[in-house]
Amino acid sequence: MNYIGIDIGSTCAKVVVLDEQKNVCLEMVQPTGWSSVDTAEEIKKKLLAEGIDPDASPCVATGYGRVSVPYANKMITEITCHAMGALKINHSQDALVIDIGGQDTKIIRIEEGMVKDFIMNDKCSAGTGRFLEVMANSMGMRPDELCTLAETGGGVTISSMCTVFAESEVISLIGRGEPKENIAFAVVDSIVSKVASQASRLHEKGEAVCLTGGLCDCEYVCKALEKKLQSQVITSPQARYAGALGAALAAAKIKL
Amino acid sequence: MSDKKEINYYILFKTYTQGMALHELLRGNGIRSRISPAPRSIQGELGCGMSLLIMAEDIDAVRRCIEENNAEYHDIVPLENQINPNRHKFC
Amino acid sequence: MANYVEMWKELGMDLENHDNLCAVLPVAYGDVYLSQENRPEGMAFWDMVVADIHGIRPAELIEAQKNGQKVFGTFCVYVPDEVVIAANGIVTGLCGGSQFWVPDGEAVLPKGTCPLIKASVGARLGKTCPFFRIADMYVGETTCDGKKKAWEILGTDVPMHVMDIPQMKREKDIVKWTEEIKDFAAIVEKVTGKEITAESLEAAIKLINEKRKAMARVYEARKAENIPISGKDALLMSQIAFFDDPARCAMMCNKLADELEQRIADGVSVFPAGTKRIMLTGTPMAIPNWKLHHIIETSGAAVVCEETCTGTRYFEGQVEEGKATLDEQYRAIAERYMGINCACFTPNSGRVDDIIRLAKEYKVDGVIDVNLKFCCLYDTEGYTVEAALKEAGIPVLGIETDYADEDSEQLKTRIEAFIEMLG
Repeated sequence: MNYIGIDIGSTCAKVVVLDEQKNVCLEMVQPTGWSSVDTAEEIKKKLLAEGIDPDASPCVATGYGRVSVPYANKMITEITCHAMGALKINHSQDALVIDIGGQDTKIIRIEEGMVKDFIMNDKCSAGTGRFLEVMANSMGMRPDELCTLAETGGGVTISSMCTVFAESEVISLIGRGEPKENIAFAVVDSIVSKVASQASRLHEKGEAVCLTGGLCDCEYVCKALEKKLQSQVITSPQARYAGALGAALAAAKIKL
Repeated sequence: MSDKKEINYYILFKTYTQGMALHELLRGNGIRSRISPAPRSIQGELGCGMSLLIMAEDIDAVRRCIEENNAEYHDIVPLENQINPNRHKFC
Repeated sequence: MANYVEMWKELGMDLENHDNLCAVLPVAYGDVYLSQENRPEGMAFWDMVVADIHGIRPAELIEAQKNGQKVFGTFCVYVPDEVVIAANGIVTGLCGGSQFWVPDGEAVLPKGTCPLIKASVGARLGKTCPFFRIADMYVGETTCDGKKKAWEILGTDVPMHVMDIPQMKREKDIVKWTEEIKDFAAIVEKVTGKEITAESLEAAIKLINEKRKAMARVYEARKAENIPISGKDALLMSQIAFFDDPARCAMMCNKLADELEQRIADGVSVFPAGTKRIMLTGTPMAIPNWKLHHIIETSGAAVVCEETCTGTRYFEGQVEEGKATLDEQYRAIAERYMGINCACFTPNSGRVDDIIRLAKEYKVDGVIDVNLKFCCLYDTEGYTVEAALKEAGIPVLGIETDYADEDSEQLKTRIEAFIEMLG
């Protein structure tokens, strides 16, 4: 028996499959694209190609596209799933999780293996992966390139929280000939500042945090966040799959 | 209840007093009816926005009850199910 | 029966635009209300009221005006209905709860104004609500900066009286509010041409006390283990109470309460056993704002109480009856109304006490603290409220939203996660 977790986020869809012993036996990621219904279909095909039948295996869907997975046995919000995934990754029962997603950022307080409190950003995309994407795009580079470049820059800040205004700030910085690394620095600084200010209601100074979501691949983002929070930021390559992993763990509790 | 193909019936009235009278009459006869604002598409120029929403399986009993009691109404209009609690369109 | 189109025309309404509202209301009402199973039969009255919301009651008000009565439109639970009724006047609530009216409000107000104010101003200036056309006089109050300035704009279009609400609750503030009520009474007497007597005021006090008691009975039934009425239906009852004739309102609420008490005795519930019980605290939900209740109740939880102006703040506490003189009666009215704990007061620790008390009385599993976007007062007080709830070990979720549909999915995710968190 396999247990399937599918996390359809605004930017990427992540899949984690667990074996009978709840060990990860498959991880997949793909762009969500225009239609989460089509994405769910594609995931089904890929799973079948791996010899896993989603119709015959317990499956939990999460993420904003969770309603679009017809073969899922259950839907659980990404907050609960990220929490459960982060605990598994960190082999812990207590944690403060920061998930920087494509369209939202979540701060989740977990105590004794249970979600105790959480905060999600408003409709605004400041402090999310989307913000990074838009800025990278206007600078003609990939988001991960921007993050790497940011480490060598400094001395510039972006004051606008609104993505649209911030983009025009970036464009005028480019226009006045500001070196790219300085602008990249300002973009990352804006994101981590927003995330840190959001976290401040739940985060205690010095407390280690677990970072999940797509941005945890960028080493510099973790470093900048550590500096801003004055706390250790723990992450791992698995952390971007935290939501899907949490969903798969929930699937393991389903009796078909 | 959110199956879109299902047909419902809306009974329209010239006044809400007629509508409430029929609602009471049906209730007295153990026939289900729900008071609903008449969908704009079938309301025409009528001043009264009130209608009775009847499910398909009840419509024959309703028609019989109306006939037996000479109950007043304006029209009975069949319409595909309009209700979808997951639409999240508010007004 | 009057043709409502003719009536609306005579009221000078923008019929074409109003028709757009008439088109969306049936859809929303069907989705939110008629999709529910096993509702109390007594809700048929409120279904009827909404089905003809711009017809039946407006026609009654116009008829009353033809018979010489005056209609006062109000925007706050601090404005005492008793005074208007004692002078043979009629009160109708005018708070706007629809996104439909917001653009017309934004034509004259800053975008960063709360949606309730924008909708209220828009409903008047856009000529798309009969109640806003019918009222002979509007009664504003100074509960927030947005409202204060909005009255100045509305005052150019309609006769307006503004009551100055104190910001603290010291003895001298109660004295001041008593004086404000007396000033208001004098204005009302002038408009209606009827003198307020100790007898007429006593009768009005009794009438409104009865209405409040009837509403409290419906709320009392929501404390039961098996919840006999949905939060949505209870909210609708409260929303309509602002418009309806108070005697009829009391009668219908009492009838509903009878049925709910019977349901409790029979073990009838509209929710499966074990459904999580949610209390809402914060900003008012003027009709037809059913958004949060609908999202919560379609996410597997039940709303069992609202600590809002369209909830407990509206009906808790009575005016003391049996006072001999008008002076004593005005003082008694002032005392009852000054007992309402609105975020416009400082300090406002009474509200936190109310919330903790209600959470226990209604046996809630969690509290959702809701803030209408740009309401600085409730937003700021949310910090204190949420801290107190956490201290008391009651889970709380803070939500900020407006009347628009766009954030429904985000809200649903947060609310579902909150319900998952409750276990």
